Amino acid sequence: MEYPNRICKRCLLKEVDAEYFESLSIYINSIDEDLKVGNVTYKERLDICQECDKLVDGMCSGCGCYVELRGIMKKNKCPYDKWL
Amino acid sequence: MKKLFINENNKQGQIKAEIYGQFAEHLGRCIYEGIYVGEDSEIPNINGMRKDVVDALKELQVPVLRWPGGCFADEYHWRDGIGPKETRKKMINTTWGGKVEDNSFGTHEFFELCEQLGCKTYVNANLGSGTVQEMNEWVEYMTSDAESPVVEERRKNGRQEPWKVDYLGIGNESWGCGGHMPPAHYAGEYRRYNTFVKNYSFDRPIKRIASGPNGDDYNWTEVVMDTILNDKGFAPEYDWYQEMLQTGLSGLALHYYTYPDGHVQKGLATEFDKAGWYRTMTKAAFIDELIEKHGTIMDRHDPNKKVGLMVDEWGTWFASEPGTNPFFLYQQNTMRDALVAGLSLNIFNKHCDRVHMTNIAQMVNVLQAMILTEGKKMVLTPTYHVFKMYKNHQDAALLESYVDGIEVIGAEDDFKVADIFESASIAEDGTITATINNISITESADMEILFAELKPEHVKATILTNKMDAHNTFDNPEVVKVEEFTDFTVTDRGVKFTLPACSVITFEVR
Repeated sequence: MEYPNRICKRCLLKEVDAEYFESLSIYINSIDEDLKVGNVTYKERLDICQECDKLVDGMCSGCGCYVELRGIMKKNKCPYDKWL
Repeated sequence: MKKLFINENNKQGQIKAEIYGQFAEHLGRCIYEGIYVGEDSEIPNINGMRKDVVDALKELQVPVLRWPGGCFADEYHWRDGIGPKETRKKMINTTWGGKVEDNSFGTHEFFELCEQLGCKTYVNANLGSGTVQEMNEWVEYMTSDAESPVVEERRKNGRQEPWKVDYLGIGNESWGCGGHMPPAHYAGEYRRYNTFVKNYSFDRPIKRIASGPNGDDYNWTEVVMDTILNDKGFAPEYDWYQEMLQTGLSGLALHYYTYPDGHVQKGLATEFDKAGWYRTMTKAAFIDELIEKHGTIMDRHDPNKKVGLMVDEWGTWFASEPGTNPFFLYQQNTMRDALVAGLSLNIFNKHCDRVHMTNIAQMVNVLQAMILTEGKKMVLTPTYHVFKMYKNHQDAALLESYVDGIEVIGAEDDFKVADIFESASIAEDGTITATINNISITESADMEILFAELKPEHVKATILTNKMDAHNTFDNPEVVKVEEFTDFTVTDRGVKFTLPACSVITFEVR
């Protein structure tokens, strides 16, 4: 994984590193559907993340997670309680 | 019945408090989010330092903190981290995951943190990509009280009095990320840089630490010790000069991590089997052999053991938690980590004549951490609890001790390890502390502590025990916790008890 010399604030991983996002997507697709939230909730969560200054290059600096993965899991919460 | 003999009449040296030292690098969420959140954060803080984390760390009596790296140290330029925060240089931490480093945690903030923790300071300076002048001026900035432009700059930035730098690392992993130097080349560089690291106060000289070996690289130790200590070159007054200026070598840094499945394909912290457990313990216990063998080399050059073997990076290194930035080195922490910490600290105690400091990697959110944070939440790890259970050893006198009845156990022929590790010490107030680990994940052990003469009058004990992969989470933070241990019998010579499988016990005896 290479890092660009510029940073992208409030960007999802798919916007900054397509190759790494591809491998993350494969992992997300392998997760049991029962553990995941539906598309509407997923989009709501990611929309909130994209309004947050903690999101840099697809990663939440509050928890160190790529939000596209963190946001898909039912059990997960935003570390700063912006979505539950 | 296993017997733990403790001779309270034979003190074998002082267990320096620094053996229980910590390490915080600009890596992942160790400094930022884990310790420092800034003055304007919604997370309660004092001068930007998270109050919950600092309060928890104070319970450990952190004796010393190493900063700013690690590999980051040899890319760190101290001037980026001083002055008004809004004007500090923003950069990308290319070593560790491409995170934006805004330098809001710099020199002043490090000393603020150490003041809050009440600990000694260990600054690792940049030899790899810095200059002699840069290191010289940083030391002047931190420790001088003279009238000079650099000191005036510090005062202008809000700090009137000099700070105390207890330890200064002159380069880090110079065999690797710190410059990929051969040992003789590094040793020469060390001598050059060290010449210009001045002591501005002779009643508190800076203890200098050279970059030491990577694991079992014994040639590094031989060449670096010989070149720094013995090679006088054309300056026969070298020893006298160093003695007068108090600039001699105080420590050689050894780095050793426990990778149970190798450096490349690491398994997860929480997912392992019985064989993985014993591989981990066997590899962790290898530190004993490393200390013995590096110590033997050091003995030839430094028979009076003035130079400490500083194990300033150690601990478990597993795969990063799924979904987190792999370069942030964020890993969970289970009873496996607790036993690695327990046996390692017992080994360090027993080598306290040569091991003068260790710094577990790292303090918060990185590798074998004391504390994990997620936003406002904080969780104490099993490793944290072990450090707390061992804190009586700090600055106590090591006592002669050994176990009769040790068995060698394991699931694979190549990875066998002793089932029991222990050490014992006596504090100034006469309290004897014995810390004992049962490495077996299936077998408890009947044990009797036997003292030479002491007839115990007051005995209390605490225990940390659980399943091998038990760990604390933000939703369930007290799965692994310290509990009082009362299931023992006091005899006229000691204490009898059964040591549960997979456990760490601390006895305090008077």
